[in-house]
Amino acid sequence: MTRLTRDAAWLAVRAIRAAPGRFCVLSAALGVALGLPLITWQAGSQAGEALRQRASATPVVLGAPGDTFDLVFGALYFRPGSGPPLHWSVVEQARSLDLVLAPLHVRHRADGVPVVGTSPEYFELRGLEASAGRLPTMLGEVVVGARVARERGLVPGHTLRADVSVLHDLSGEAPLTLAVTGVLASAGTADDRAIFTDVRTAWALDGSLHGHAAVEEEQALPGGSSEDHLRASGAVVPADPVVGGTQDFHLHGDLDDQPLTAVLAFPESQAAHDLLLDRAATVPGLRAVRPGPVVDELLAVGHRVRDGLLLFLGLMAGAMVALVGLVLSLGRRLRRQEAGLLVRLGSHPDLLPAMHALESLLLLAVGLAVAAVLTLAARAALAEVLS
Amino acid sequence: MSAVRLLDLRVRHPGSGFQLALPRWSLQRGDRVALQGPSGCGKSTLLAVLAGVMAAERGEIWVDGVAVHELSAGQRAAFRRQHIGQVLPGEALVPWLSVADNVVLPYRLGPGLDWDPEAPVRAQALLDRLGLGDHGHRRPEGLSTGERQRVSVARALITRPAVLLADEPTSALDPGTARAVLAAIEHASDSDGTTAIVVTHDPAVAAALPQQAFLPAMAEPLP
Repeated sequence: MTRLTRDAAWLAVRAIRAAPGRFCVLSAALGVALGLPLITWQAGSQAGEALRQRASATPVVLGAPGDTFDLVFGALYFRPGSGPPLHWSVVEQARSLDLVLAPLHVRHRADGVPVVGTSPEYFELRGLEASAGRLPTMLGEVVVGARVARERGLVPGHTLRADVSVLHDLSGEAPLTLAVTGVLASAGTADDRAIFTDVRTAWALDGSLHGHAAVEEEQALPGGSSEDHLRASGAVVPADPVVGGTQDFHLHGDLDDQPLTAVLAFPESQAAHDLLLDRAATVPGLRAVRPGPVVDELLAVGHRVRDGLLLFLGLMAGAMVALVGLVLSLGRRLRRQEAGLLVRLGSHPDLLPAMHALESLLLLAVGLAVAAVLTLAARAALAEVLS
Repeated sequence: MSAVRLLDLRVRHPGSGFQLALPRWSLQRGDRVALQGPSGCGKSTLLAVLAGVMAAERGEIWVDGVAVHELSAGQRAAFRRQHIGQVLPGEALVPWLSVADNVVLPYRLGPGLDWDPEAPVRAQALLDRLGLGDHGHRRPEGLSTGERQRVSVARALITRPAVLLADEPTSALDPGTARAVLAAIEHASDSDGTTAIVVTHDPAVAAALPQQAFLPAMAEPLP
């Protein structure tokens, strides 16, 4: 550092220290103005990357005809679809192909968290393992995602109560108690924010698969009972919790007709992949969708919106930089008398310009640091939201 | 060698058209002179010329052995840093520097005058001598006019200059404090050989200095 730079820095630091409020406001304004375009760009890229990764990890989604976006995002991010359900028979039919299938039933919630009915293949295909306890093996058992467990303090051995969505239908879905048998290791995906169970438990939550608790004499319906026979309504005495009474559980209706939200298909070869898409096109009431192109289509729209926003924010940042420059320039005009004093005392001709340049550089450096901190904070927050 | 020597000096003020002609003037090292004269006779102009702030139309200006009249504007700035201490009239402190930083400011004006590690200690001693010993951390806005004037004197003496040019250094001071300022100047003159030119309208201050100069008497009448 030259002597001139050292002296200019000595003066610049003291000038800043004399008006810290002005410096903080200007650098914060600069930081926000520069940070917003960075955050927007970062958020777009990060969200796009997360969506692409999730989509590319899922070769094909099978579903009933309806909205494509609804089907894909419902299957990838466990959002209940608005379209008609798919039936279990599809899974049975597709088993003849060279595929690994993971059925999804996303209709219920427990404590506000989606309860995903699926099969053990889902955990295997997504690479999900229990970090505590074990995966569900029996009716009424669930494994919870890492984030759900962290936020609600759930550990194996705890229980959850399924949310009731229809209060007035006594013969409909039953709010069962679900036993937490395990907690999944964090995957940094939507799997961290869900509760997983066997698809039969999801049907039990639908009310189509249920059990009856033993009926005691005092629960008998009036009339129709004899010495060796009690008449009681199973609907008013549903078996809950499920665990421990599974031998009494039975399905109402045909297994093939049981509903699913979607089926994730993982063809084991390109031939199987092509064959699946080909067959699906000929089966009425079935649709096979590759999530990758659907997500790309959505991202293309998103990127156009992002680019427009970036242009706008870039202009705003430029205007803010110009405004800060104007404030600095006016500040220097106000300090003209002091500048004259320094010249009168014999300051080097380059001292004042160097001091002003250092003041501006410090302001810019702090502004950029603020922008960097905001971007990193936004990145961390978005990673949390996207997981 | 004279500390200050002027020969056939002629200065024309560009704004007002004021002219000053001084055929000859010289001062020795350690001299302390009260420069007097009515308002507008050119006392401040003469100090500005000696400091190299204003260029002469013609003539020779020698200060501490330096031919000021031969220097460029940039060289005159370096000359001021190295050889001259100035007490300027009016609000002559940097408001965003503390009193202590204002005093050591001449060491922070660029190359030519090396930083003296003893400067802060000397600054405190000067402030003590001028009755401002506990004001070092304060900002000029919190000081009275007289206190600011004394800080200005401390700043002018901090570099142990060859020549001190003081323009009305006691104008806002009570007699007691004015005596303290003059004592500080005398101390600099005795210990460092500083030549002091003090512009004053106060006869008491003028009488307290060993030499007096009356500018209209020194100057050459102009047509």
